[in-house]
Amino acid sequence: MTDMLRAIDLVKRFRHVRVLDGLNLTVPEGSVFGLAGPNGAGKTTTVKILMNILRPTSGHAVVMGIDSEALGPDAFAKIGYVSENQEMPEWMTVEYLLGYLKPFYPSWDDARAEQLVRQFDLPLDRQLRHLSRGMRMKAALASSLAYRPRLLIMDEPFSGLDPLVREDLIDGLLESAGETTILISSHDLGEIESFASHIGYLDRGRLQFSEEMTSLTARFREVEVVLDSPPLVPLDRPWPAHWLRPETAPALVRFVETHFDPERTPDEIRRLFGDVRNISAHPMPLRAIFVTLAREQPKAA
Amino acid sequence: MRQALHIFKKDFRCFRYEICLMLAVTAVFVVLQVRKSFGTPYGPLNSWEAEMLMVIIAAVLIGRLILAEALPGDRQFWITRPYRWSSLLGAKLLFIAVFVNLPILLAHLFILILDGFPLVSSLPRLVWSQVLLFAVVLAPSAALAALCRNLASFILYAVVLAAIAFLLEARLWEVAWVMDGLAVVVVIAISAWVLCLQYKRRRTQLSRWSAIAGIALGGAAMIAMPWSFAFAVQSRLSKQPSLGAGVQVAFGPSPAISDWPTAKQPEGAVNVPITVQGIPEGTELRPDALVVSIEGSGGSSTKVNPFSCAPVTRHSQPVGLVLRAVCRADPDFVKNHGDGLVTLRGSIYLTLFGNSKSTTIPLSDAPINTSDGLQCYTDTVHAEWDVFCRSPFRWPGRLVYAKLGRTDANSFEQTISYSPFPAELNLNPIETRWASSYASGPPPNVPDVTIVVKEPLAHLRRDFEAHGIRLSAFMLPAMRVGVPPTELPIH
Repeated sequence: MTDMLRAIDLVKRFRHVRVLDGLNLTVPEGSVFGLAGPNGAGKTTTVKILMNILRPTSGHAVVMGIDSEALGPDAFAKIGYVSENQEMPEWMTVEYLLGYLKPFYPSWDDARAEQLVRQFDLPLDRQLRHLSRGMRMKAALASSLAYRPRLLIMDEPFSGLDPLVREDLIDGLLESAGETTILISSHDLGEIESFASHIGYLDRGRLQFSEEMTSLTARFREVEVVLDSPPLVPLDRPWPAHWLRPETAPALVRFVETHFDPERTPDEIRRLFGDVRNISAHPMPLRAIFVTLAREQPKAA
Repeated sequence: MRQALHIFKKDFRCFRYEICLMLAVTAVFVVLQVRKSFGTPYGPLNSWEAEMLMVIIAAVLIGRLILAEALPGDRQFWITRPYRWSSLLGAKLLFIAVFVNLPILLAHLFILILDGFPLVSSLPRLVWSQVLLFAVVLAPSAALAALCRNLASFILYAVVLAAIAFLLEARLWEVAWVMDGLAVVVVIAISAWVLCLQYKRRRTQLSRWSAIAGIALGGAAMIAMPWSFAFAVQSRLSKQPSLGAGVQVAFGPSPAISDWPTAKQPEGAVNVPITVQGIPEGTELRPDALVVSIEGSGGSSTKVNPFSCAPVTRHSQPVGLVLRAVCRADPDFVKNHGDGLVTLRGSIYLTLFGNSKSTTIPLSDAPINTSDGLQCYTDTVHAEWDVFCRSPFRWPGRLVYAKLGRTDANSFEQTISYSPFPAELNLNPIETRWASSYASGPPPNVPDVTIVVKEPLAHLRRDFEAHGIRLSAFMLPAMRVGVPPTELPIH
């Protein structure tokens, strides 16, 4: 699998604020990459640098093998970009927008465009300024998927949308997932979880980790240990670095295991606590993983 | 090219109402201009008001056109679409040419036709005026809009730049075109740079700073450019440079009482007489500008620039042609050196006119074509026997007189530009001037008027110097305290 996107030591400063602080990121071709992180983490800045909307202060990014600062019309003909705060030509009707964009894209597929219009239930004769926020996002997405882009970059696409619209958008994305590499920046983890194949977590301008979704969800477990007797070690001593958010009760220990291994983890618990009555390890939803990481950032890295 | 036309069609659809408005106001402008030509009352709108409306609508149209694909900012949908910068820029410039330039060109063409100007000879002027309009106003407006985030900031900066242009406007009309030419080159260069940089790279900060630097440098060059340089350029364009070889000038004679201006003069006003000899037969000499410096006995000096030496009047005297200028020198210097002896140095810029052409036309209030693109007529209804001439796109760089019956030739307003270019930048394509009326005595009651036109043949600069001048003899009444002017030796 080759890399569709690569960011190398990206730094972006806005006056005295260092928004990106040496970001390194790789998005494999064919993946659906969710770029998650709290507000202000630098997700939108990263996306804008990748799309050559902003220039990095230092470092560089490579998009489809081209330096992001050299992205031109030929590359953009294969890239789709949808952003929550994009300024669209409000005076255009949906039909005019699609008709206007068609000649820009050699790979424009009329049948796909019609299918997207039907799928999203877009009112062709209505001006964009008269569409709801959800409908505008659908129109933007339809206008970006109709030419079957190699790469689709979406910046907070689900923000402020109702669940039905989200479902529609995700359905539309999933249909393109095979042929299109998708990068979605979002803090809406529930949506990313449902279809992302890879996930990256950005915080304070740095990528804290990036890996396949299956690997991430497999290694994070909420572990609950029921003790027979008081533990052999005092609970205030340093815990293993990969155990996060420890909580204790007289005969109970609970923590998040960030490198769960069904064989190694119980052994490690027994080594620390002696005999235990019960060990249970529960899979964690993405939201819980990120809340844990956000609160205990240094250990997670 | 296909993409440019595609964007052009989109813009046409987007701005169809603004285009209609532009066309409507242009049509109104034509109607008002033509009605004015035929002496019809204007109605609710004057043609200059229509001109202002045209300017405002064109500015808003250009601003909105460029901002439809705004360049500063990071949220515009088009910047991640496969637009070719050359197509986008080409589409915008084509739109401006078609929906702003072309309507104005057609309006001017209609006005020329309806006013009865000869079309073939007016065509170069028409084309040049449109080239100027596009290069100096419309394209720079597009460049300005390319640096702005929204229409409000575009309009604000447009007003600021218009004010700067007004302040930098050259004041010495005859050679203002040299300074204006520099300004035009600077404006075109800045506009081209900004448009290419913005559309190719979207480097708004760099574009803004380079535009500011360009305007500052251009403005400084205009301010710092010496008038002597402008006149030197002008003299190189003389048609017959050797014609003025025999022309000599000298300071003097000192003014007689009758030579003093009747109007009260400001403090520091000095009468500067210059005698000119050797004017070639059949030519007419006209002073364009005078620069004077006065040096006192103690080594202190004061310089009087061309704006402060006006008007220069002409008097035929036995010694030759005497030119008299009222120069406003530094009042303190004049006061301090009034009774002492001073050295006066000066340079006078002169033009010799010749190749006189006369055209006699019937006296009529219907304009009749004469020579050099001029149309002349009288206004027998409102001002008896006043003669008007009008010219498309600029007043010719000629001396023009109207001779009515046996009267002396009446001069039209003679602030003329020697610009070699066929047109000046003006939305109103017709410049009309009036020759002083037949003021005294009964109307000449003659059937026709003769329009005399003389072309500039040679532009000259002559320097003069006079030592041991008693300045008080040349000081004007406001400063004089009962000392009558006396004849003083001229060295």
